[in-house]
Amino acid sequence: MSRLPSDGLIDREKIIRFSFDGKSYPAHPGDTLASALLANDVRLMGRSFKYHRPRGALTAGSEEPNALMEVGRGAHRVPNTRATVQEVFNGLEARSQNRWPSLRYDALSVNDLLAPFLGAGFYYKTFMWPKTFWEKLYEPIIRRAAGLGRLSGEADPAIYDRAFAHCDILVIGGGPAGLMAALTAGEAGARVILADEDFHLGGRLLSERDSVDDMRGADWAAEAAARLGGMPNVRIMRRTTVTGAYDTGTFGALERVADHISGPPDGCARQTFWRITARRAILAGGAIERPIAFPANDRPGIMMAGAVRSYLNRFGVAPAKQMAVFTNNDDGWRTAHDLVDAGVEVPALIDTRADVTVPQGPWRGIAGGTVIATRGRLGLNGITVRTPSGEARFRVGGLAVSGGWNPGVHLTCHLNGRPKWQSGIAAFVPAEGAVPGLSPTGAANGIFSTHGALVFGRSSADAALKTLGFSTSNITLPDAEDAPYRITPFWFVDAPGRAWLDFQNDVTVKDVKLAHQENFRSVEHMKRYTTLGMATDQGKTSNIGGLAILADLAGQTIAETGTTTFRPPYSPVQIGAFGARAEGKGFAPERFTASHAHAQELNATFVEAGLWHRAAWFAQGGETNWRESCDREVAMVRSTVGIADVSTLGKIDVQGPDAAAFLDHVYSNMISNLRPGRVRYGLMLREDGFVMDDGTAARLSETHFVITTTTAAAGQVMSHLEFCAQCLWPELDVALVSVTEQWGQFAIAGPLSRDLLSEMIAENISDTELPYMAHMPVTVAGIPGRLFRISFSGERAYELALPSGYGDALSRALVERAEAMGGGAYGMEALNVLRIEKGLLTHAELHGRTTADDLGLARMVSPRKDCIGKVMSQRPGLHGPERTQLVGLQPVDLAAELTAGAHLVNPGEPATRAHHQGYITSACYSPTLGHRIALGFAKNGRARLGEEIRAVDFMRQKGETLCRIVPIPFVDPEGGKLRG
Amino acid sequence: MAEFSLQALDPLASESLPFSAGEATLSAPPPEQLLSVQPFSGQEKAVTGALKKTLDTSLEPHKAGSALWMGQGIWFLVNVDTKRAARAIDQRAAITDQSDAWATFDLTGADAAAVMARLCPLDLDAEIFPPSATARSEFAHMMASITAIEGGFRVRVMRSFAKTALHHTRDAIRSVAAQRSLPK
Repeated sequence: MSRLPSDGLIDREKIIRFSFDGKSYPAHPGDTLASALLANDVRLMGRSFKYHRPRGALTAGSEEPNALMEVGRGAHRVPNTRATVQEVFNGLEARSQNRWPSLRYDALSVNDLLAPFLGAGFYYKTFMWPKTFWEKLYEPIIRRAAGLGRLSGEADPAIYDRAFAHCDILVIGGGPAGLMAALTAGEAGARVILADEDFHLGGRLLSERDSVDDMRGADWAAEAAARLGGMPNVRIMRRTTVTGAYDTGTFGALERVADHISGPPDGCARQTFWRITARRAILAGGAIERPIAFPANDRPGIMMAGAVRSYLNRFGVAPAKQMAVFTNNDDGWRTAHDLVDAGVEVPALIDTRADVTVPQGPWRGIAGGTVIATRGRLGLNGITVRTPSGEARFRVGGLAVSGGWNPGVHLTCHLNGRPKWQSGIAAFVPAEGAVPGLSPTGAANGIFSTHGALVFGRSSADAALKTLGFSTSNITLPDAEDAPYRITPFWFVDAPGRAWLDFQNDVTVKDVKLAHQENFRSVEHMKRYTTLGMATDQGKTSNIGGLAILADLAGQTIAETGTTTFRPPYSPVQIGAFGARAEGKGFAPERFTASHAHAQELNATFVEAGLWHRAAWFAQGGETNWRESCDREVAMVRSTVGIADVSTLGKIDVQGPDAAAFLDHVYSNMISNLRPGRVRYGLMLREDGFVMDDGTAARLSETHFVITTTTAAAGQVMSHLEFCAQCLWPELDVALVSVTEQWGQFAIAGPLSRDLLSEMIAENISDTELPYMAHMPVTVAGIPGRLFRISFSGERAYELALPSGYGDALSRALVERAEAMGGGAYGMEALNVLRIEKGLLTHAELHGRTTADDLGLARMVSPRKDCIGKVMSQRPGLHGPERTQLVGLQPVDLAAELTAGAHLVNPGEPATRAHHQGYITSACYSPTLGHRIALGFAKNGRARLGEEIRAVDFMRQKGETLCRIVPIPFVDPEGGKLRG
Repeated sequence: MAEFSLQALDPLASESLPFSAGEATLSAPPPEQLLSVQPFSGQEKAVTGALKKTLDTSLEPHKAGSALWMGQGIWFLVNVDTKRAARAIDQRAAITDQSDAWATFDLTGADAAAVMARLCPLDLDAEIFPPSATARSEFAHMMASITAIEGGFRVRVMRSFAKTALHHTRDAIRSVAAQRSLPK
């Protein structure tokens, strides 16, 4: 056992069990998967991406590149889970990944032997020829060999929430700087959110033995957390990683809500993706320790020095019985002391600096030493050190490495901020003002002592409070260590053998050298050529090392070389969390009409139109095919009476002294001369002269209109009218409001429609009182409503509107009466056939590329007034014989098919783009005529009536149909039925 | 003409309400009479004065009382005597009946704000959005009117969206309730 007898923030009283690669192990609450494995002497945790090298945990935090695992089972399996972040719970199942057949004996570790051939750029050079082999052969093989974890292949059953939060001050990171900043801001009364990715607050205080105010750092952190927890204005968000900084003080954050338990309870989100809006933000995310590149520096057992202290002090785990320390800075020395204090043998403390006095201890102190070789197939068992006087070999099971600390500048780069090189600490620090309103502090800003973190945490909060108008607090500063940070940069050991920079993507010093040699010398080119920093860890432990080597090769400073760009998310976020509540019913809202339940009872099949669910057809008796129902419903409307819910059409109430003038501006045809009590068909153009939408305008009084829009364009037309009223003609006194949802509106269509309505309406609705294109207020069973004499079927027809609350009852009353007359309900399919037979338009024809002239409606662009789109519609090329024009089409052989989407080609000409003559927009079987008919656009179509043309359907590949261009409407061209 | 009658149905009639889980409750208040009022150019003062005098109703932006602010230049009078209101307005404003166009529901309880945080991007902190504050905003993925009431929030969505809105609200309530039971 490597578990130390005491210490650590784990609950030693409780033992929980988890499994790794099928084997069960004990752990304690408070363990991460990595600490629990190390406690059980499991150092080998994964295989590397490309060479399948044995790997163990390098770090103890979210920057981990090596210890990636599959966690969970079946559809719940999550690949690439960082063992250093994942909390252990009872029953946790983890498996190693990217190995076959097992982690210890991985067949693909043969890649490691082939390493001389697999350097950077290998793929690009080798798999160039033949070109077609890449997609079919090379890529699948490479992907199988080089990879990370496997997806389950099933839909993720977990629930993800999205949520919004707001605060005065967002503190990112709960280490000493973050806690101090939150305490300061909280005491001052500001609304504070403290977000920390860990499950305990305290940051490095949890991993160090330093005291704060004569308490253990971890105890001080717990006390501070308790104080914050008692403040109603402070919200602590643990297990929450701020993943991105966006405009106007918005931050993305991922909360791991239930990843620390064996299964979330019913209905519970596994993770929540937060959008936090903060007036000010303080970045106190700390710093990340960086490795030194030396030959075979990737063996399990080689770890960051700070991580070793985390395992010792926080988790009570000794990563090995003998460990050496290799550092270029004073901070590394602490690890040697902590190891010895924990009872671990430290044979050597190796410092790259020749000019320092290595502290005394039960070790061999080597100043000016470097590790030049390591040994151990599946885990470290020895190192060779080059000393100023020769070479020395040590038997060790672990090596703690520190190449210095990099402030966590990542979030400050998300709005394209470029960090600045600070030579005193040999690291990049955030550029000032890189993210407006965000101030980096503590280690994230290059201040590495605990005292410094507390001081600057407080002062950053004070500065934010001041700008927000809060009085600053006089919170006392606790005492803490203030050791100076002394470092001499040292990036890589010049010795034979591969020295890893990017552990996750298997990029070595040699690869960077090769990139430079092959002239990929800009840091961005080097990154892409070698893939350094392009793995899921975004190179948190590797980027600086890589560019330091590149700078060295180019003879430049690191500042001149610059960095690549860090982008959101800071650490990996599952797509499920980004798409939280946007799948299934969350994809789009469903809108239901008031008669929906009645339609369901009538056995309707529904179709989505816009967001509305509309009845498409009503299957009756033995009808098994939609066409049978549709044909019956069409015949019913043409012979008796049919009822359809048309409430989904947009209805906009337009009132005001200038309502008529306003409508003249937005409709292409004249509306102002419409008499009250009358309805007119209207056309709206876009600014570019093309048709936007059509509908009807009913005049209720001199100053009051109700206009209708198509179902799908209701929102678009409403916002267009709002824009016109507010921005184009603010001087016009007009009020617009949607009344779409206020009215349940039903079409009553067919020769018996008036008879049906006469039974229900008290008012006289004779043709004299209510002629075609008129409307009147009516009363139905005592309920005031509106009756419009309009038709979308070519039959005598009405639309009756009552307040939506009566929609269900009205639907039942109408259908019951219609059925008694041999009619009934009809759906969208029949409605579509009826309108095609009559040559009426929908958005199949008003598809955004047709002009009024194309549609044969040129006379609807009134010459007597101006309107939106009129001037632009007169441009050359938007009218005339070179355009395709709306025509009717029917097959020459009346039994033949016609399909919407088919293209029109002249007989005898090839069916190619150059000979394109038009296309079909709507097609159906006409039960009235007994054959198929279609609407379409044919070049100079109106002058070609009677001509034959071929309809070629490339999509369905059903061959082609010879058609005749015919006039529209197909049915009742004189409109006798319509007017009655 | 045959004698018959029509029964009105509330948009939430088919929903089983109230619904509670954890510390949040979703319920339906009694149906509302809604009358939209949009004062014509230069008439805002006169209309406001007349409504204040006759019905003790004031048109204020971002406020909800017997007049509910519904956006720039538009209010809904809630449960007021429509005829008296129309007389007081005297054609100085556009008015329409909106009673059947909207579905109204309340979200109350200690977790109401946590549930709302999963549905609505507004900052609903009690200091910023105290009872009677109102705003137009997104709710789940629908447009809505959100009003703070004692102990929670009143949400109005267009009638056809009611089912979807309640579906997402129940999901959010369940998720927040379940999170209460998680080990810290």
